[in-house]
Amino acid sequence: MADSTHSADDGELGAVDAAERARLEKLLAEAEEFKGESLWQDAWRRLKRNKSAYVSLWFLLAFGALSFFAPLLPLASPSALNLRDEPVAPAWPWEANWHVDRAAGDDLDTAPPAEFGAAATRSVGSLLDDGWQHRTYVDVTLPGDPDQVRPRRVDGEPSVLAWVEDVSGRSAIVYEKPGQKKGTRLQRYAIVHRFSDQAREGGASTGLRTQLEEALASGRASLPAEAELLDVQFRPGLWEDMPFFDRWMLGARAALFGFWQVGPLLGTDGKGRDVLSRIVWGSRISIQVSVIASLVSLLLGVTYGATAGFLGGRVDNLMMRIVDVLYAIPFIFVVIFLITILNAYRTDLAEFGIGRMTVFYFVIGAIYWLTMSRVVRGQVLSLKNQEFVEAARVVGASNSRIIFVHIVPNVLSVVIVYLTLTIPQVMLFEAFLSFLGLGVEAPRVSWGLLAVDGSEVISAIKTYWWLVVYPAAAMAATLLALNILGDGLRDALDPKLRGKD
Amino acid sequence: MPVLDVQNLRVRFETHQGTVEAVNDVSFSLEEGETLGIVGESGSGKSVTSLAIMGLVPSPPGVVEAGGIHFDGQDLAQLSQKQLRKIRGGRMAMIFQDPMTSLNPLITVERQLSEVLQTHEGLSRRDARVRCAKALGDVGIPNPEARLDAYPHELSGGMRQRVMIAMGLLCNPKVLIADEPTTALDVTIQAQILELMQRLQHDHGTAIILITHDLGVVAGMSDKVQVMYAGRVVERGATLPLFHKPLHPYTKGLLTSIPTIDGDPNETLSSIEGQPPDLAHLPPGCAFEPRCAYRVERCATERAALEVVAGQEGRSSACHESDRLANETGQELGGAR
Amino acid sequence: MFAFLLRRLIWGALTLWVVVTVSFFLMRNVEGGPFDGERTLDPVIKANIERQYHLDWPLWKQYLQYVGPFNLDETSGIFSTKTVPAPDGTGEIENPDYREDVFGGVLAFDLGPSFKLKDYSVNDIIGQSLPVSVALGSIGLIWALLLGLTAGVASALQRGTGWDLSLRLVATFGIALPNFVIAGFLILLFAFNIDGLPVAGWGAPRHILLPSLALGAPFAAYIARLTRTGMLEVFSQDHIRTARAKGLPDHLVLFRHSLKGGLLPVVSYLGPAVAGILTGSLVIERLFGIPGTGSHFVNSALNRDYTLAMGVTILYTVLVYSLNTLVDLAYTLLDPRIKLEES
Repeated sequence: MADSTHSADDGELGAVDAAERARLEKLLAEAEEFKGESLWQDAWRRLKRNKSAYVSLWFLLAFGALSFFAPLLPLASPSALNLRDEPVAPAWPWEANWHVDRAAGDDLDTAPPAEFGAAATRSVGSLLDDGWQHRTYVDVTLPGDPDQVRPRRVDGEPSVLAWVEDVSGRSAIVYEKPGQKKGTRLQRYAIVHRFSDQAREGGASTGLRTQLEEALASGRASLPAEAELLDVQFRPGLWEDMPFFDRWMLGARAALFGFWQVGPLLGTDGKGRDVLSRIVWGSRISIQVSVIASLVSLLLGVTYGATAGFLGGRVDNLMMRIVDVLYAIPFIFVVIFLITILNAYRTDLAEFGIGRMTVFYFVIGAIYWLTMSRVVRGQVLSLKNQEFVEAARVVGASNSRIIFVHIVPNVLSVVIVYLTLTIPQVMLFEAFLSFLGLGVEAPRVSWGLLAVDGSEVISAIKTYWWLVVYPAAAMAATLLALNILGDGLRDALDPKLRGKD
Repeated sequence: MPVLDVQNLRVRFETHQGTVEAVNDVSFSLEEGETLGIVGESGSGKSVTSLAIMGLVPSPPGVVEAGGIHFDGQDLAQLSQKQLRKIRGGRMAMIFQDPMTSLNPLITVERQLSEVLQTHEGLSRRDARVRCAKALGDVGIPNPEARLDAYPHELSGGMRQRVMIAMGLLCNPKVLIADEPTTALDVTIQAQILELMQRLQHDHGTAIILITHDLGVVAGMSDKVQVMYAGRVVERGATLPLFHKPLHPYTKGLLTSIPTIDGDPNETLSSIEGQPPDLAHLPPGCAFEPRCAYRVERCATERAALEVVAGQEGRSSACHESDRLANETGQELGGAR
Repeated sequence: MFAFLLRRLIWGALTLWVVVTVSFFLMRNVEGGPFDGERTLDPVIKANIERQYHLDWPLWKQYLQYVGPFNLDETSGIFSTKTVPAPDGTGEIENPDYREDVFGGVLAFDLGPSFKLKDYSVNDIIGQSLPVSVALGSIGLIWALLLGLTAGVASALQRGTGWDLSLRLVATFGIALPNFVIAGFLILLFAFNIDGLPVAGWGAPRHILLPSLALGAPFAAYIARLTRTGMLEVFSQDHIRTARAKGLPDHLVLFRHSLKGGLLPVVSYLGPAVAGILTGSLVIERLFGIPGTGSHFVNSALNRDYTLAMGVTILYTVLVYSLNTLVDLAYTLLDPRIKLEES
């Protein structure tokens, strides 16, 4: 390996003889033996060593996948109401396919009547997909007293969605009006025809029904004279605004599982909604809100903090002063106050396409960006003055190189840790707001709303423990995993501990 | 009768990466009023040795075994922590490297000093305060009364170290262990501190164990020097003769690596090749062998014991080739090769 | 010290001003809000509003009226005159309301009438409910400190043992679960299984026990964690080694040398903790049926009682700010290395 000739470019150092060269090469070989590790490799190794953080990471990934693929799973509807029931205790699947496939002749007469008439509107059930032959429940808004409407299934009807009856025996059917598809695959409209008392009287409910069905089947050209078109209400249900990918998954589910869905493995709540399904679907909203809101706060915070830190001096001072002032305000209260007021502006904002959820994201993001900006600014400040930055300058690195190669990776680690710790806080906050009624609304479901359901049924009479325990367990597990992972990341990325072990 | 006699001290640490042998079969003794310098690189075991003597090695993962640690009539290795506590800070004291972190930043100087007297001599707070003021004066701190109520961060580095020294000497210990007392200080302050320690030693008759990696410090202060490498003593002897003629290749390497003020500026600085060994995986033979310029066949498999070198009075070395070294001409301190 | 307090006061005033002003403008412009002319209001409330807010005045005057400290009403305020023109146009009569209410507005601690609860001003509501909330919150904080500090120190001392691990597990649960879930569990536990502790209502000391525990639990968990980390950090520091080398007995090493340093992060945390307790009280008061300011606030948010909502927000802003200032002061007292300017 060693070459014993002098080489022309040894220059001022004079001739480099063979022994010297051998010695230098040996040094080089030794140096190369010590494999350096980048910050990320080091961090990953340490994270893997931290068993609970590692487990948490995989748990969260698995849970995230579950949540993402929720429409694919054969779960009961999270918002369909089955108001005649009490909360049903957890049951094994094969006992409890009770959502599905009741015989067609089943019971329009024995079911308790519905009542409607007041001005309130409310969602009655939920529809899964129009590609099916059978329906389970329907998302419609009927004018009427919310608590008394009892939806039923009508199997085999492609277009009748539900049949309801009120206490005085007036019936209504809800069906899709052809030609009004809005270019989507899901039925979303409710057209309600109410049939008068006379039609009902004479004990001819079955006859009436047949009559109606025939009329409908024949193309709906004519309906019995007694049919009266009520107001068309259209209110977004759970399935509205569903992005394309989710709808595709729903279709896939229908193809795979048909009508079959798991029974109440974790029980149902007082309105007949399946707890397992609500936990899974609720996780989507909770995760969505917390991730997006955290990202919003991250964006705001990092930009603000990095700018302040980098510019330094008086600008930095001023910017941080503003943060201090805002920090002093107990933000929770201001947020609630803001949400209250923004609710009143809702129609105005809706014109801009800013829906309730968007407001939500920004308001929540607005709380957490303050700390993020402080953290980032602190990090940038300390990095600016580090010797390695000086060293890089001395070697001739340009400003942008310094920023991207030296400062950004170090800031990133802090940001990641903080992000992982903010997400559970936001989740808690969202739950908190929903609990108070200021957050997510039905028919959407979030974990906060689940907690509300749980707390509402805590009474001295009966313990519906599954309504409290299961949602709490899901929430606890996720939040715990996030916290443990965040702590683990912080330990793994902390440069002070790096290499020391 | 030596005031401190350590026999066959072993300290190991059980970590999840294996057992680390930090101190391996170390023995030495210290006479009254004598200063022993312990020299070595980081990882040589010099600090752990002193911590083990004081009973301060943290006990899960550390395991301390000794043939005997005889101090002032007692065997420290046999004592319980409770009994050791009575000795620590009283008859045997230790001062540490960095006075900024070694002093409690939230407690006044006076408190940290008086509690020693309160614990060991049962003095009242008021009496202790008087003694403390005097102690501060003894270590050369101007205006000691005022300084008593200061917090450590309000003092300069040199003053803090003086406070540490005062703290160590408050109860007139028989042995003072100084672990790198000057390393964290500026060079000019270093000289002052060393001078102070010498004066106090002279006044109080304290035996000192001076632990350092700085050969200059050792040369100035110690009567005897003990060189440690990879947890073992590799050479021991009186200071000047040892510096004049080292009898172990490691010592020689250390000495020759010191640049001299009158050396040739174009000469390459010499250093000891290679890296210190991994204490969790020590070789069967001599730990220094891979880096040794004097090595022979058997060095890799057979470790030499620390023995008196024939013909050299009061000098011991753990090397098969110590005779070869003894016969080389004596060198000037720190001459380049 | 004086300079510090002065500076804090100025910034506090600034903060408050921001809150007040923003609320003012938001409330003014809200459709269907309190000042929307089309909205039908209870006549009593409507009268109150008009009397208080003078909706016919120019905006700047309304703002000044709102902020205070002076009432600008021509009849009863600071600018009122002794005599006013007679209603029938014949000369002047004496003004019976002359300078009745010279002061008004937020700066004069007048937070206006409630929007939903007739006959009550915001001050009344707050006056009645605040002592309740303060009692609840203080005891909650005491629980948090008591449980948290003990658990944290014990955990640090027994590091690695079963005790440590189980305490840490409990603490992690306390941090991860929202407090209404914890409260729910406590209610389930105590209402059905263990007698003797009521789960609703207010009036006797035993009513405070459960809700304050539920309120303080998440903070106890966090404090336990902070304490444990802080103590472990202190234990590994050099000066503890020095203390041991001096032969000090264990209890001195712990209480004199370690505790102070280890607890510093907890003192820092007290500020956010108090804010958090205020927040948590919203939920706890609701769950346990406690008539405190928190539950009023929630109701005001749901019922669109804007003045009450805003009044409580202002109150809590002031409270949190002052407490934070106190905490910072306390911190400097504990740590001699920190000077006030830096906090």
